Amino acid sequence: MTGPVPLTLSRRADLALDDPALRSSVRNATSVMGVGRLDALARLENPDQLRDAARAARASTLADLPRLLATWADAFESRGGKVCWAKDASEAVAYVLTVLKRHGATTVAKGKSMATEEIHLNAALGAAGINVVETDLGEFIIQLAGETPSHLIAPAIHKNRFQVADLLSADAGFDVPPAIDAEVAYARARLRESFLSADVGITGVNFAVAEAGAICLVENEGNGRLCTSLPRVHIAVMGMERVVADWAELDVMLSLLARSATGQDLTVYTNILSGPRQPGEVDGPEQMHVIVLDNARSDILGSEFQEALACIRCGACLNTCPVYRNIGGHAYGSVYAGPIGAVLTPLLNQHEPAARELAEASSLCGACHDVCPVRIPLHDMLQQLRVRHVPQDAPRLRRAAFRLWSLLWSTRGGYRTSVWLARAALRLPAPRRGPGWAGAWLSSREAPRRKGRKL
Amino acid sequence: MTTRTQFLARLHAERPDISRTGPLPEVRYRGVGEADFRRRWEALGGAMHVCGPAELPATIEALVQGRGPVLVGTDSLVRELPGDLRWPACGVPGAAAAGVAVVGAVAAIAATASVVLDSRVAQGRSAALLAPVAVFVIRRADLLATPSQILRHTSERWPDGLPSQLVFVSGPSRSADIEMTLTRGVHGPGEVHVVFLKAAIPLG
Repeated sequence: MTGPVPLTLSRRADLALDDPALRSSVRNATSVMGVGRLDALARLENPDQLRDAARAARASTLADLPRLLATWADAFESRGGKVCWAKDASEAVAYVLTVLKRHGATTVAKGKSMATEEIHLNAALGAAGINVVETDLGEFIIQLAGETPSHLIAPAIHKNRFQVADLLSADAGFDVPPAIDAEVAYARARLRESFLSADVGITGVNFAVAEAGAICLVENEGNGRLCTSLPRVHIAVMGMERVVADWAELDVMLSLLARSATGQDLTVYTNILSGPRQPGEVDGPEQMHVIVLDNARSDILGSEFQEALACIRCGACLNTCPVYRNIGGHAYGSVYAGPIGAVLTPLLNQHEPAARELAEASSLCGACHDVCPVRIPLHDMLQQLRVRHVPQDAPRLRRAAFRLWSLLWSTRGGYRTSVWLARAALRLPAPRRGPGWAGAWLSSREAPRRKGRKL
Repeated sequence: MTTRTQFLARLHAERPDISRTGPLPEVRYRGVGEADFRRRWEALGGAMHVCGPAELPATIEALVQGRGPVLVGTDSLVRELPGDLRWPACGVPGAAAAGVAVVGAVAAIAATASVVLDSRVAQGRSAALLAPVAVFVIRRADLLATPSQILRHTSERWPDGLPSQLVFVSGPSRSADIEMTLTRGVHGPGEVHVVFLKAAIPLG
């Protein structure tokens, strides 16, 4: 999130809710991925054991991050890889520009990467006169539309084939029909030229294997493979928490990542890259750079939200979230959307008050926690963020009401009393209006209807 | 610019209540034999063939169906096969011009229907990446049960260090980025074949 956000979350959500095409696209995509996830996990004999182990492994790895990053870097550098340690977005962008300049690069083929979205790399490269081509099909479509990704895994899920045909036709200068095969064929031919002419390939990183000094990049289209095989230079941008300790940890994470994301056993291409081309190899980059990005992650490390850094970016929490499924990614107004985005965004942008309201975009139902492959307690974190951001000047009545609620529910007797009171209150007609904030709250809610003797 | 020392000095982690102790559990898959490879590979949209070394040229010719030019990889499994383009001599321009690429793979994995490519053995990365059709030739003895048999045994498999690139290829290139509709061949090969060789060919 950079610069002022012109609309409030609630206004952005209203706009999304009024867009039937968007809502049906998002609902369809998230349902397909959600069902695929269940089937794919059922193809393992021990998915729950693996998820428990994955959670514990991510926790250990985060606690040992400095040592593991150093081990990874030593091994990677020993094979000729170059590492940049970027404390923030501006250092990461500056490093990319320096490498491009040194190689006289004018064109970049880019693979899908949320870390590069986070540092707004495309805008910076564009401003420097570099021609950047997004090569993931969905990313290419939204680049043509001048938009940002609306889902971690499927960036263009908010567009239908007719909208895509218009964008591709404008790019082509001739009519690309609104048929998906024709659209894909156009993109293949158009982007193939970019791969063959690009000086530099830029990608993200899914995992860095500390003991091996290698990175792992997963993808389905082959654009990641092309970005890392054809250009003379490969630059990978990686959030510093992407590290796994060893091959066994990678094995466990890979068994969960694609299953949780798209319902695949593995993605079509699982690339393990250990450095630039070696003697005897006729292609592959002559130089390979990895940018390790902090960008406020070190503030999360050591805090009550540390476990948010365990995320492996599968997008399962987006697909299951009742809020995301209705409003899609753009309404969040941030790089990372959905439950994980609502947690990460305020933490990565602590000085931006507008980022805080994202924690409100949740029903706290806990579905995100249920599906998370590494069992991050996202719903608890969302609640903690709400507590942290309660304004100090909140109305006294409101603060008192919440304090009373908290007191009642802290003891068994109090809880019972409150349930008894609630049951009694249901006999009365539910008020639909009230003063100030209470009025807003009441007007958008319905009291549960009483059925039978008990609630 | 931040140095490595400065960067790492900022990282102070909370010690978690839970943490990994001892080795991680095995990933246990259902169905890890040759029939399972075939079922999964075909479900992904690939085709599988089995033949002896003597029948390999005819098997390849039958699936090429006159669609050339044919690129032939450099590894011992395929390099004696007839072809129009020879990797690595033809280079990336040759690979980009090929209609069918025939290369060897170092292993196949039944649990995930994957084929494993090694850039050191292949002498590069893009021999079977640019053509619309890829044919992977693999010794039947190199069909493994699970990815763990590669991932948890890298130091035994590559005692001299990793190749610069290892790729697990699981089916044809695919995208569902438009309306979640599955399409094949968006960037990599859209038609993929695996040929298992029943008997070993001597290496070298």
